[in-house]
Amino acid sequence: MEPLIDRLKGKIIKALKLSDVSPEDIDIDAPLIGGPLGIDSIDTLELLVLLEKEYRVTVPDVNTGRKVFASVRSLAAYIEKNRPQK
Amino acid sequence: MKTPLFLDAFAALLPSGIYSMRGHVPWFEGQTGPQDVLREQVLDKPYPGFGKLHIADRLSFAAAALLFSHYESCAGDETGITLGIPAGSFSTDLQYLETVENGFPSPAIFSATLPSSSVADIAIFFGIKGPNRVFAGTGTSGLCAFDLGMIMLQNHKASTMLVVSVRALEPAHMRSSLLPAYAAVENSAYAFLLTREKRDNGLNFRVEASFGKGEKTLPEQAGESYFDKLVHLLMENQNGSISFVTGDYRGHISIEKEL
Repeated sequence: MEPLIDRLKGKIIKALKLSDVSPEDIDIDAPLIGGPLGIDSIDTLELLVLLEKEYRVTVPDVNTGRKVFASVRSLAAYIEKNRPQK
Repeated sequence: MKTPLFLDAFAALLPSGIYSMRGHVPWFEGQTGPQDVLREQVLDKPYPGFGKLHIADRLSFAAAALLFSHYESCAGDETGITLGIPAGSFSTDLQYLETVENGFPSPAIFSATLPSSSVADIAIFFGIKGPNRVFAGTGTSGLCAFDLGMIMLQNHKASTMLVVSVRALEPAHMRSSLLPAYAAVENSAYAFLLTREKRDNGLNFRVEASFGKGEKTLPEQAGESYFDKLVHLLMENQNGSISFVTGDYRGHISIEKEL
């Protein structure tokens, strides 16, 4: 899953246009929302679009979303588990 | 009798460079104007959200950040904000339309299609909780913002008012046929801090202004270029008066150093 996590960090920075942040700065176990990256609720919606556009993965409800967006690691695990097999 | 008001701090992003209470700094090589402003040129601490600000939000925020970088904090509910933004969110609207056409409408871009999002970014970051108003979509939006800023002080709606006037378009949209002529001008952003009380670290310019409609008695000026003149007076630490006529809106702003 490490390659996915690395790619995901880059995609998050690009999708959310985070300045002053490099992939190395992102702690994959830190809270994704409301954490040091300054990601807010609008950004979370943008991440939902990213998941659907890039990985064809959807998040069905808020409770699932809370678990999925808990950290970069949990986000990667959800993608890994739910993305369509090639 | 009107309460004396003070213009206590200013900052501007203009085609030639950055203007602040510390002086003028030209753009770096490769920067073509205010649209290329970097976070580190206006703010001395990291702000991951700076890069995601859309152009009008970014220039408004940058002007406010530059002003507050040389001034004490104005956090709290005694400080208000007025914003004038002639082109509204024109560029952001077009960018949102592109995402719609691509099949994945962007929520973040959609939220920035409200011109008031510029005020929100400033208010949240600097902890400003007083009243705020936005004027968008007319050539006199900046003037109206300055006018209302003074009215709010006179009426004790706030003790300090941050007035921001911004002209912000993505370069690709400057020649759009959908753009009103009054909005198709070079990018710029101005921030002025108006107060009811002199502050130790402020400029201490007493400011008076009158705005209104009436017969044209003054020479016509292009757009809102009078803000350029106001900034130059402030930079030179000079007393002066600026008269303006734009459309059927006219009046003057005068500043006088209080010793």
